[in-house]
Amino acid sequence: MQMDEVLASVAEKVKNFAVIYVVDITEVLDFNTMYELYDPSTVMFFFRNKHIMIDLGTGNNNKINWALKDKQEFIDIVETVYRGARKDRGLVIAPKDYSTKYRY
Amino acid sequence: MATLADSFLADLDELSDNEADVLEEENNDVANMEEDIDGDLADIETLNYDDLDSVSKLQKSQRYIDIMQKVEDALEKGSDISNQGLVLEDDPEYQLIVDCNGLSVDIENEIVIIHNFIRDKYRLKFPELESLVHHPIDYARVVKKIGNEMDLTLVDLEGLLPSAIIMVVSVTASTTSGKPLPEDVLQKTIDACDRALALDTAKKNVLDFVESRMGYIAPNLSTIVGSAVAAKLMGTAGGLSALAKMPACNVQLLGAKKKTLAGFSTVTSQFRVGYIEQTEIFQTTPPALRSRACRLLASKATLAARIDSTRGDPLGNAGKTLKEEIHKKIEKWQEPPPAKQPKPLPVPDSEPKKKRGGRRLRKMKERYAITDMRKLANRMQFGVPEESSLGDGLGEGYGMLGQAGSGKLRVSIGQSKLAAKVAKKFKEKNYGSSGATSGLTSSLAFTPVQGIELTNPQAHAHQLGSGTQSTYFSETGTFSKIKRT
Repeated sequence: MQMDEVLASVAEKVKNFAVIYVVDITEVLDFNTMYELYDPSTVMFFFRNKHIMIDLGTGNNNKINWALKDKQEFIDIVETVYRGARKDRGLVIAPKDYSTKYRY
Repeated sequence: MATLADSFLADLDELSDNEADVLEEENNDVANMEEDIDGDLADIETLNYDDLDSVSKLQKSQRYIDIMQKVEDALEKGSDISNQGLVLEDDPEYQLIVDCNGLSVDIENEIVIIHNFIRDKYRLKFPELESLVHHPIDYARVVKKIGNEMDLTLVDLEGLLPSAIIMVVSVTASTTSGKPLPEDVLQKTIDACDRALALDTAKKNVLDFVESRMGYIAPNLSTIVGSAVAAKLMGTAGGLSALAKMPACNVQLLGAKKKTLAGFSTVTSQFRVGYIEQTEIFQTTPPALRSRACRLLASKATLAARIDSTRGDPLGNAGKTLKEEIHKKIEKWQEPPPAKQPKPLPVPDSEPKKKRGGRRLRKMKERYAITDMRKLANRMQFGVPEESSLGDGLGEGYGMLGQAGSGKLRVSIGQSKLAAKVAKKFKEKNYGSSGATSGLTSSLAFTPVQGIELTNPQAHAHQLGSGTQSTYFSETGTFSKIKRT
């Protein structure tokens, strides 16, 4: 829910370079095994039909599987992904390190 | 002025004498001075200033009497829309209007002259009144009401002046330095007041007449500002063509009252607007927009006057369109500003960075530029292994630095500008101790930048002056003596 809020508020701002889709994994089951969608919220990035990986420091580079609270952080991640993807990079490095995410 | 100088000298001579005598002398001198001034004025203006008729001649002139007669006849006849003459100028009524305009200007000048006359005469009685009541007609009415009365509580000025002014006048009258006028002077003053008031009513009649004919004379102008104001504007300007020739900024100021209280600045006073203030459009605009509306009205009114002066649009359609325009503009000003739209972010890397140039940037870049030493260290000769800081390929490589065949005999460090800035600050802060005159430190200082330095001891003597630093443990401080009290 929190992630939905962030996504909704950010959608207008990034609309020039990113479009956001929200998919209910209980209704659309086709990709659950392929992308391993088991968490309450998962954010994945695709550019021109290619999946873009982000080095967040958590060990899982494929997706963001927790709820981000800060809108600006999310916008930064989207922008980094866009920049890297445009240069044909398959893996981009996130501006903030989330390895300590579980430590508070 | 010889008598004036003499009288002053006479005063001086008698300073030591009995005060009563001196006072008497002074009064006589003042009376003498007044006569002299009157006499001088008479010389200057070649008028017998005592006689009103010689000052104000208009009411006796034939022209005035003729025109006033015609105006009264026309007013009695009522408004008849006379023939739509092809040429306006041939219409006798138009000629009358033109004459009326000229006459109204003359009447105004006349009123000013008479006002001066009344004021000079009444100055003996109540000198402060002229600075309290500015308007000539109001002044004349007040003078007539007060007459020779010394006690203003017996005089009822209600209706002649705003109550605040009445209060000020009453208070000033109680402390005035004036004296009652002699009977003949009083009579002359009252006559002058009557004449001023008569001229004022005559002017009103003239204006009423012009106003009633205004729809025929200047239809476009009357549509925009209303016939009363149009008549006033024409009257003050001195005719339709004169009004048309004026620039709009002047039209805006026609009829503006000058409220100059002596000594106070007029910069902060209300914006300047004349008869335009009385138009319906102006009165219905909100106060915040009034100055803009005034300018707009004046400019459109001038346009309309110009159309009318050439009879370009006898039906008044141009006036209607101008009025619509004015209304629309004022509406537009009152619209709220458009709501703020949240702007989406621009595409990253789509807008090229704004690169700056210039001397300042160049100098800044020089501080971080690559030095020759670093350039040499970055390159390597082909086939020749480089030396390194830890030896054997470990550590930082030195590249072509120090190798034979690099083409340079000696590479100097060069003036590092970044280092220079840092070193300057460093030097100022910490290496002034050689200036101490105490016996504890030497006069030689070992500085990193320049090696051994011999500094001028006097240069740092001022450092003692800072009151925030303790002088007990200061390196630059000297021994000080504390007196036992």
